[in-house]
Amino acid sequence: MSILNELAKSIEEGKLQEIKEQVSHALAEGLSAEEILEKGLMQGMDVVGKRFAAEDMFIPEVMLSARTMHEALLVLRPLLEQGDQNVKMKGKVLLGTVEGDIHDIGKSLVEMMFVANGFEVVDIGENISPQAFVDAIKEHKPDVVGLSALLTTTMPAMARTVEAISAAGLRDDGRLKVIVGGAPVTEEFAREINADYYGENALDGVEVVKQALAG
Amino acid sequence: MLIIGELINATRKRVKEAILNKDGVFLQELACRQAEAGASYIDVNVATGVGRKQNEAEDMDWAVKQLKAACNKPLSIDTTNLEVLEAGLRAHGPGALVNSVSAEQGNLYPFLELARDYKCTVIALPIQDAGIPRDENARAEVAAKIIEAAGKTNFPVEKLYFDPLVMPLGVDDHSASVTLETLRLFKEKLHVNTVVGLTNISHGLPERTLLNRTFLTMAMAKGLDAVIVNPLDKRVMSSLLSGEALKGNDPFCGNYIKAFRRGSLIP
Repeated sequence: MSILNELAKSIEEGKLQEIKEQVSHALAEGLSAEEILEKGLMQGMDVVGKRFAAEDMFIPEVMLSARTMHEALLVLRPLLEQGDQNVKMKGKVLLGTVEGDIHDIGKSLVEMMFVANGFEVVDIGENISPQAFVDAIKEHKPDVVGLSALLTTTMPAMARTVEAISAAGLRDDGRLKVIVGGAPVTEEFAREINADYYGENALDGVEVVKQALAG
Repeated sequence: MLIIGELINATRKRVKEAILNKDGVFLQELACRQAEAGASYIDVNVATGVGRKQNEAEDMDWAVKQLKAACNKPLSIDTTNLEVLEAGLRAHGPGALVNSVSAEQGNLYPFLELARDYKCTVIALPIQDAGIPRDENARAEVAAKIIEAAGKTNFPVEKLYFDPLVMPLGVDDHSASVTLETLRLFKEKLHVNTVVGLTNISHGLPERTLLNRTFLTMAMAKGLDAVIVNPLDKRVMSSLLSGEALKGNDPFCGNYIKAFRRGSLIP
């Protein structure tokens, strides 16, 4: 098996203990940090996403893969940021749970998956008012804002937040994408409240955003 | 063990449709099947996520009126919204279960006062504005605040059922053990009744019923008093019956053997 395939396999299998050494070994063999990330590690995350969607992998396994990716990035990030390799993050995502809702588990999973897939993530927390979302978007200038809600009773707050973001003119140039998700949220609801995208689960959310930013 | 049947919940597709189409017969049948399977309370959650709050209060009023006479079981009014709760209790009359009160600002006292006026039993969640307390000590602290509030509102503490909070095992290896430790503290230090909603434990994992039923018996061993469950799930109900017998709560193993004769025990 090639070194890149082995790296992909280690992400898929969540080889948390071995991954740093494997990445160092790949670098010593002359592979670039960019190659290792794009053609090795990310390929592994892709397989994880597909297997999870097919219910062939389960949440704890996906979390272990994501953790393993974090470990690998500890070695790679300094090299990637040196500049000469010119690798950019895939995009910047701002995440928060809407007003009245204090749940963070789903949002944390989403954050973990975005980071593992090469995105920069700003998590502004839970119980976030529409105005606080607007302020945070102005400050951080993300490509994507993700709204989370676990309760049916806080879904109206999700609608108000999308309205506030639009009313503040932050969607005027069409660059900022709004994605919503959480247990009670449906695609139909996302359309109804004028969000751009809906993520059925953490990995689906990442997939949707990847496609949106690519297109 | 007090069994609260969880199936009338608007997050389930068929139930949501029944609420939106005002199909009372569907809900009545679902209530009666749960009652026959051993539910002491029938939970009613009408939050369809369609329309505004006003509709939810109207939907609750409608659903409670459909269900209260259906199978002679009291209902559990499942909402975090005061108006919806009031609509449900007004339609129900005394003796309902309130699911649930938390220690969040604006929730705790108004909910307890309503529950007192309507002579309700109450499920209490140790959640406050800052969120869900991480460990058992923090959860017990918040529970103590709810007990204090019950004292101030003249709500009888013995009618409170405390939920130690069940988080998915799939995202944290220690979720179940924190819940069980919280349960132990509630029983040993606070001497209160306890309740869990079972299914959250197995979210994102395969063979969910196996985890649900194993977790149920572990919680029963710590003194669990009530459970929110799908009473039509024969495997979970079999675990519950065997657990009751093993705890010495089933004289001469009567219910256990009766269930065997009915053919409803599943190993």
